[in-house]
Amino acid sequence: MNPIKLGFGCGFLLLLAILAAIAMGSVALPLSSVHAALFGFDDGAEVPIQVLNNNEISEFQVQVIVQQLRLPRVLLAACIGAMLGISGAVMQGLFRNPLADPSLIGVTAGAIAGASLIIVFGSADFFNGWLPSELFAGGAIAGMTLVSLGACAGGSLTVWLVYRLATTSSGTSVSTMLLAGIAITALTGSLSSWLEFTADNTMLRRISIWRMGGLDGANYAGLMLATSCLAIIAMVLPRCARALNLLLLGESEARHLGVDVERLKLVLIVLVALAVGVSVALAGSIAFIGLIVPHIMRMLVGPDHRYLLPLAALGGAILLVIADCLARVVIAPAELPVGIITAVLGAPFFISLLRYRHEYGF
Amino acid sequence: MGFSLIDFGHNVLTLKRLNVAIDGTRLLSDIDLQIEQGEIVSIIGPNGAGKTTLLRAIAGDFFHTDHRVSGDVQLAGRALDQWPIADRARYVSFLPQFSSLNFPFIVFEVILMGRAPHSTGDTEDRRIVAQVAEIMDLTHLLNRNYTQLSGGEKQRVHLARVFAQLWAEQGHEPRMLLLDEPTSSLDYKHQYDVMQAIQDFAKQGVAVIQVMHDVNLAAQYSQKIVGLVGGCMKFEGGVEAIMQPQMMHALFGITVDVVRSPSSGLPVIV
Repeated sequence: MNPIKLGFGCGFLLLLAILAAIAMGSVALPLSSVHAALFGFDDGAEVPIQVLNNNEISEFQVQVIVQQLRLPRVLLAACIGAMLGISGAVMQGLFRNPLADPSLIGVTAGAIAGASLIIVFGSADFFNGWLPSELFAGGAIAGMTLVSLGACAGGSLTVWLVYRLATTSSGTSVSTMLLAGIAITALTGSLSSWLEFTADNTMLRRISIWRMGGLDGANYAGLMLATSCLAIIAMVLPRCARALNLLLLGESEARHLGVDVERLKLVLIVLVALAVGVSVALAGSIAFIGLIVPHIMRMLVGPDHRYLLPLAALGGAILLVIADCLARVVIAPAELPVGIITAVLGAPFFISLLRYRHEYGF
Repeated sequence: MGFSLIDFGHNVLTLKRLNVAIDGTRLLSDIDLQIEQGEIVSIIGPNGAGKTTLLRAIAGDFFHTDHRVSGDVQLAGRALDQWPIADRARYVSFLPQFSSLNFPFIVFEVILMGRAPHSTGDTEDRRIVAQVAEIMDLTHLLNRNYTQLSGGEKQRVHLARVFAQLWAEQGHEPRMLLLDEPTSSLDYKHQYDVMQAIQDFAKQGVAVIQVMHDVNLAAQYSQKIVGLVGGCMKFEGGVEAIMQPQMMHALFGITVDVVRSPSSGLPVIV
């Protein structure tokens, strides 16, 4: 499939998905009022708006729903989906394995352990004035709650550990990194299990909900953080795309083609850790997007990272926006964890592609 | 090869007392070698003799592994580790014995990767890919999925890629082609094509170092043959000096007859 056309198609689909996701929810809004709430109501008159289940709500309420609740949430979903999609594509390239996943370097498991640690021990008494007090009143710094900060710290720490373990004087071994990732994942996993074991029922419930992922905590500060990360990734990664193609030949082959492989690996790992760390901190662990989206895109346009990376970003954004929208709608007014939906949406599509696998060479 | 416009005799590669070891095991001992522009050198020897190790040492692979390297490797009069990777890639290309590429690139894309070190522009790169594809008999496969090719076809794709990397004339720096068993999975016709292409490179002044299993093929197309046994250089010399029954016995431990090819007059072992 022509990657440029697919890119335009995906871009269009993403816009549609964003609009639909803003309109849909426990209160379904007509598209005209969504447009008005985004770009301003043209008259000052307070005309009640007919929502789809025959109730009427005021323009002010629509504006709050759209601008304060849904817009930041939908855009955050798009950003995080994009980052997860890109991270997956990068990891699969870095490990030269189409089955690699961003969680391989331990970042997700570390983030879960960090978050669980905070949920179980993170009372204001414990930190005794080390951290700003608004964090303990349920507040947030830069869109991150205390639990998010714990997740971020846990994720960064494990990635750093995995990277150190795999790095010797002769360079970083990707296969050692894979094995170290497995070991560290097991270790942090048992820490998380122990925390769950000691936790009381309320904590246990919080941990388990957090693990399934969700965008219900979205706000503009978090959106800013995610957007800045995505911007950094979007600036750096295109320069790595061609080198990443060469890396698929093998590390020594890439070097013989002039790629500074050690530097490339470091840059890619830092970017993936940043993307996944921030995603996990803001939305919990959302499985599957990083594995499935790059795979689908590769089947559609081939493995050239110059096209694959932006398309994986678009695909991840579309999938997460739709998944989050469904998470809000399916059992409204309650919400499902989004992680459940991403797998339910992604897996059947993936399975249907597997039937044509031989045509794509996997 | 007196009809070339390049002035030969310029030293491309110098090895002095090259030693390579890993985990206390010696892989290569005291290798001395000089290779000049336009020379085709074949490395022969039994399995495990260190042929690939020698080629990888020349390619600079061991700066990035746990191997211990001592001695001197100079490329164009400059120590190998002083060459920035990006510069070296414009003058030295390397064909490994196996490739682990398992992503479904089309053949065209794989060959085009050989142009990555150069900034010659898209039009020129496409022209070069078309030319090397023609030489390697890949034109009809250019849009095929690489992962679905046969072993011999894959080998030709990678040969085309390393040829594309050194294709155009580029200043005065000497070019060097390192090939690890370039013909191991090829049929006779394509073996011939590859050897012709290598000779054409040599005529442009490219130094070629190749690990060869087929001693007769090596003898037909090389100026110099290097025999390795147990990591030591048993001998180095011209084809006539090397293609002797006692040499082959020293190298492979087998008894052979050396006859002459009726057409070329070159020695052939049977």
